[in-house]
Amino acid sequence: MDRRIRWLGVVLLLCFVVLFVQLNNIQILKASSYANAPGNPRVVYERYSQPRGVIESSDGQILAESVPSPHGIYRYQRVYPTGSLFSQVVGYLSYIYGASGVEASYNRYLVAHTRPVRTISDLLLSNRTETDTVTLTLSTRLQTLAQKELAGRVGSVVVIDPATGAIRAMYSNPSFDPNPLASQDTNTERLAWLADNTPDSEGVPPLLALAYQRSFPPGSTFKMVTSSAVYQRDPSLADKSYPVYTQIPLPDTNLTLHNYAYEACGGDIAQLLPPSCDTGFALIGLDLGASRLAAQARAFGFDQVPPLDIPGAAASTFPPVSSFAQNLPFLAYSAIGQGDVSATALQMALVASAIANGGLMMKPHVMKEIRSSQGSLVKTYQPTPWLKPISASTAASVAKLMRTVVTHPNGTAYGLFPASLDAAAKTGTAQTGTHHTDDWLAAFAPYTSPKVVVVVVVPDQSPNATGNSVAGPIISTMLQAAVEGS
Amino acid sequence: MCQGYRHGDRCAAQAPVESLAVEPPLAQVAKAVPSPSAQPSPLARHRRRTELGLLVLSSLLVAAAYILASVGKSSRIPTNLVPFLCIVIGLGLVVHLANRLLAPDSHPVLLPVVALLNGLGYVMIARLDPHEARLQAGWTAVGAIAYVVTLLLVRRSRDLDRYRYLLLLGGIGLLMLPMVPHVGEDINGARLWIHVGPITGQPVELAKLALCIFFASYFAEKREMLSMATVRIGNRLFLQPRALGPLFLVWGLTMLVLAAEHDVGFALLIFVLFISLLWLSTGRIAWILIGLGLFALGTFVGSHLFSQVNERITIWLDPWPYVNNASYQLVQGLYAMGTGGLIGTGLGLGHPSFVPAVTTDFIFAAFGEEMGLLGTTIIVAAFLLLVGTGFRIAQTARSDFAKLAAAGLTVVLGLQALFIMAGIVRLLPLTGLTLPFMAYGGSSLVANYILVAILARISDEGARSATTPEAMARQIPAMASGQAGPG
Repeated sequence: MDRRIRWLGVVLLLCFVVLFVQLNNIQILKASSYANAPGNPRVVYERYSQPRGVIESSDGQILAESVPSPHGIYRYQRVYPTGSLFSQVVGYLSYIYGASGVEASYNRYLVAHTRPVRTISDLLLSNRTETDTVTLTLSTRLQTLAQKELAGRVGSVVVIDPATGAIRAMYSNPSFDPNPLASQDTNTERLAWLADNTPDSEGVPPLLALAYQRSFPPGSTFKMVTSSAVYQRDPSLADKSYPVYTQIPLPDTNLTLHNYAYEACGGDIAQLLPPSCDTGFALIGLDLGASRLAAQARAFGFDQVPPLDIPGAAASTFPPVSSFAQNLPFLAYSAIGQGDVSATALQMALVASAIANGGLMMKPHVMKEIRSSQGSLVKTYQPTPWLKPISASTAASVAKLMRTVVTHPNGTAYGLFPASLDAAAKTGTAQTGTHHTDDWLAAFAPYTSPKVVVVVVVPDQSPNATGNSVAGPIISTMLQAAVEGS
Repeated sequence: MCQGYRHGDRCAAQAPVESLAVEPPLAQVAKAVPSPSAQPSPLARHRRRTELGLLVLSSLLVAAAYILASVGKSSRIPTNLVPFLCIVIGLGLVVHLANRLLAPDSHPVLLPVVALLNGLGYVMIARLDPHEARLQAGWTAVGAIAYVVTLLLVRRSRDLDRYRYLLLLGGIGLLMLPMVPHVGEDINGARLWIHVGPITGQPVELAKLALCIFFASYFAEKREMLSMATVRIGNRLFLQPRALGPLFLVWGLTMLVLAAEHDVGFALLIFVLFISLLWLSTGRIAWILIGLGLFALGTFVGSHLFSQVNERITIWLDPWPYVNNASYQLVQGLYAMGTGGLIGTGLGLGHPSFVPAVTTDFIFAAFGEEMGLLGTTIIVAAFLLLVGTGFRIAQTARSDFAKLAAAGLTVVLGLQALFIMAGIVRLLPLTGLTLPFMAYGGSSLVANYILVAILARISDEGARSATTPEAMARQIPAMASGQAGPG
């Protein structure tokens, strides 16, 4: 029996040997694939247990930082001291829903990473992880002002530097507080996510950044594009004088297109733009033809996603040329920014900045510079051209027209800005249905050497509201503040 | 060479093995050996000194692990370190003194290994769940008392032999206990818990001991009848069916009860124990083949009859499609062990609590994460040491019953550890057994302390009889032939 006991021992020993082999298989061979498996909660835990870099505004306000969280599940808690003020740019970092905004696009710099060896002491330190600080081009002052001026109304304000493409303010209502989304309590997170995805009374969920993620009919602000097309693609039309009308019949139909409040207007383009003469510009559009107008819109970046350095920007749209072949009335509507034309506030700001910047459109960006925790510069944003939609002379001509919108007594923005501001502008009042207007204003200043472009859009206003009456006060304040600050 | 305390063990082990080459009925050898002397052998003091030294070593290891876990978890030395050390060393000393008084010749390795496993298990539980740790500490004390009481009650192994049927009755009673209304409780689909007042427990842990002793006793007595073919059918000889009747009755009853309670792990454990003891006592390969056939049938029927069995087999074969439901625990265990890698994250620095039921089912994975392959290897080696010691004790035991009992208890302990560890690393389907001495659970702890106490008793007898002057004299020729041989 003793021999059989020994055999039994050998069998059990072999079982333990097999166990040991499998342990090696799991803990050595497959160790790293198990350790980094997407379903391994430690992966997420490690990411959220390290400190994360600071995001700050151009004037040094902390927008996002990691603070130690002694009682939390994770060692650090991401906090957003400015709450909903910057959330559409800064984004959120959620354990469940991932990251958005700057938190997503500059994650590489924000996460703890190994510092390159620069000094001898670096070589000796075992823990050389560091996080970088991302400084944005946005200023707290302008952002706060934009929030205050919108006064809770659904709408967007975009302030951009035309020479560099630096976005100095981008705020829209509704906005969301990213703090509950970064909560360590999954229930808080889920509830916040649900609430932030629920459309408000205007049909806009807070998580949707209106300023660059939702487009609206640009209305008469699109005349910046139509005017550019005239100078750029058919200069003869610039001198053509159009008769004075209150309304015009549209080709191929018995529809008519009438001016705002059935006002009568006419003349050449220099006389048509200040009062924003719809009948005149509709006729210009028909004279230009679909291909030229569409080509100009595309040259300005329509139907392309703007290369903004945060994710989720929406493309603005201009209908394809073929769609006008059987439908010339729509070409007339498109020339005045109605019909199926649709643009984001960011897109119209880019159009205005190309005009203000001698025809060169710079890539829009929110990152100013990135510094390491030691304070050394890691990266500075180098302004880069995106498009060259118009020549310098076209830009000058259109800018001059926009200046008259402010200075000419029958200009739609006459008297809106203080004379000292030296502003140029274009208003827009897009009819959406019969009961609503989307009220726009695009402006830049100073006219002689533009430093700031501001675009304001306040959608879904009452039918008798206009770009001037609704967006005017906002843009005037914003433009003054932005010019003072630059 | 036969030296020191090993002298007695090894030489006693070798003598019968060599003489067994011709297979004399062992009962005769046992009769030839004089009954154990009342006095401890000359080597007893040496054995106990070795045990004390090893106990101190394992206590220090446990204390070091306790400090590390606390430093890793909260960056401070545990405030209750002194009371902790006192309890660890105190419990060790109590059991050690019990050995000195009650089983002075028992094997010196058993207790230190058990103390190490139990201590490390406690450290991990304390690091994961302080509430469970307090209960576990209490149960450890109860376990130590159970050890002493077992040594006190079972003064000779044949005492157990004598109460064979009482033990059988008790074992079956314990098995059935969870099915009694108001007492039994369903936890995770297995009805193997009882709930009496504030105490809950798994009586099957104790039942496994009772059944093991019964099987050993029955097989020791009926070994010849079970190995001799006496019934002629045609021109072939077959075993007498009468001899098998009671056995299969007990076995079938056990299986039936376990099937009713949906506890596959223990059913498998008892089954393998049964087959092992049958083979050990008869030496007939046929029993193993019959066993394998029954096992295959059981698995087939079980997987069709019980959804739990089917599910466990499915996720064992391929856990990846079910990572978010059925195989979540298994896969999280693998992730934990993979994260540990070779050297682990360090005690207190990992996240074993991501694994569901980590202190009860998956404590091995927690060690895999925080102590890495090195830690799991130490645990596997420690269990292997226990198994090896157990079989050595079985070989040195004086009677057939003691041999079978020691081997059976070793099989129970070793297989239980093997099943759960192999389940966690996906070598076998998960069986829901607890890792002896390490996992949280009072009944398992107490039962395994009793198991080790019986092993200690058998080893005490075996070593004592092997080192009586008569036995020493008997071994001299064996030693001489051993030295003359090649090794």
